[in-house]
Amino acid sequence: MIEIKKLNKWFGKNHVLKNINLKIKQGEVVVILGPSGSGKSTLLRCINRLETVSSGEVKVGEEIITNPKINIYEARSKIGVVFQHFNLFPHLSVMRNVTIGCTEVLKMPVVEAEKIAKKLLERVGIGEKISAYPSEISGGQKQRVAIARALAMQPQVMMFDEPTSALDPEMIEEVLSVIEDLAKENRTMILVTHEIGFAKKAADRTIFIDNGEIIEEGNPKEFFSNPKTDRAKYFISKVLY
Amino acid sequence: MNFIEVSKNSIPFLIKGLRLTAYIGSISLLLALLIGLIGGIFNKNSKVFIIRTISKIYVTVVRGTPFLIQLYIVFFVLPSFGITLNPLQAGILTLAFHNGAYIAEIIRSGIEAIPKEQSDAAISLGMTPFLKMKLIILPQALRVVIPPLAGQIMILIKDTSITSLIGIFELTKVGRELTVASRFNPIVVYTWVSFFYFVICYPLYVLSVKLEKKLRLHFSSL
Repeated sequence: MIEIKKLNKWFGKNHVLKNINLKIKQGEVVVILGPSGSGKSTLLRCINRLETVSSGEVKVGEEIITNPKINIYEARSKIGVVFQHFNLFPHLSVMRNVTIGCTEVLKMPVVEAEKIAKKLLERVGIGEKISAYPSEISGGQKQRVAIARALAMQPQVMMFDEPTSALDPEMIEEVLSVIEDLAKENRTMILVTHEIGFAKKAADRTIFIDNGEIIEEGNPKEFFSNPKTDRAKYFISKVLY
Repeated sequence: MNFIEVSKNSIPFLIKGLRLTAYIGSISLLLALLIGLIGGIFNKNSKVFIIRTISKIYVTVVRGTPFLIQLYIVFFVLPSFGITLNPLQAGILTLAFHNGAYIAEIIRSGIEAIPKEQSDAAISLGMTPFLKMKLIILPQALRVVIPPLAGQIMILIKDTSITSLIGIFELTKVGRELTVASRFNPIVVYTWVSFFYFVICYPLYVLSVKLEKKLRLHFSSL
């Protein structure tokens, strides 16, 4: 589903992603772990060309994202993104936040979009808040709206960039359970997260990135109990307090 | 000098001037807003060199020279280059052109105040730059700039008084002629002139406050 070949990214003199090679199969749930500044978020942002790569190729489905000639807007509509800070549109109601992509980008009729939105919002557990505005709901609720908004586009891939890192501990559970639910559905998902428990439970593969390079990848349970490289060992010792 | 007598005699003329002021004000305002919107979106921080350059020259030169001088140039100098405008046309055009530069910068500042994360979210849904600007950025940017924008609108309305210097018989010119040609008492006349300007500007201010309250957005952790 996703193929990344020899991806390099520089921010000025900073070599942020170093020769990344990665293949993600359809339906696979991949968790990307690593210390701050290791390039995890940048990698995600390169996948939907929120950042352009300095060199290398990114392919999602049939589309070569790094090719400047493709219809990047269409390609992006097939990649759902959930951000650490939710990024809901504050001037729109919860319902409108979820439908706006469907009606304006996918050109769906409003009635149909609202039907889809209502179902999704109920599914993530905030059916009663559809007329509310983002400023009126909690962080956990906002993130669930953000998930519904991404899902409404019926994407081929879902990317989550530290979805629970900005949440109060009590709210993390409600969001993680939604994401776990999605993971069971044979969706292609990439998550950057620090939630080890979630990774062990729901991920098919863990990828450990440090300093812009993929250090270790493999089965989550094995990775946490028996890391092979020193850097991975060090990271896990810090994380598993 | 009878305040009521002078008032009774001047007010009908002043009202005529006020109507012209309102006429000039509204047309040039619409044009200025249009220019400002375009100038705010295609602004001096654009990634496109041509847009960046034209915009930079426009906002710096127009804001760096007095409105009156620009008015004189449009009315007295342009005819030498083949463009002859009557006072009304010159007044409206210059008002729009001059205030457009300020409005462009105001709108630009509003657009740039919107957190990059909003742009990221819009882009990730597959929105084109046009959709992103129309649906996500501008609606928020315009709410943010209501106070300075309202202020600039009031400045535009008051700047119409400067067009009296090229012979337009708007409110200020009428007032002046009443005091000079008709020898009416300036205290009475100018009190009414000020009052009429206030009558236009103050409601605009009140409206902007109401609008601001109603459309207020809360940005914290969205």
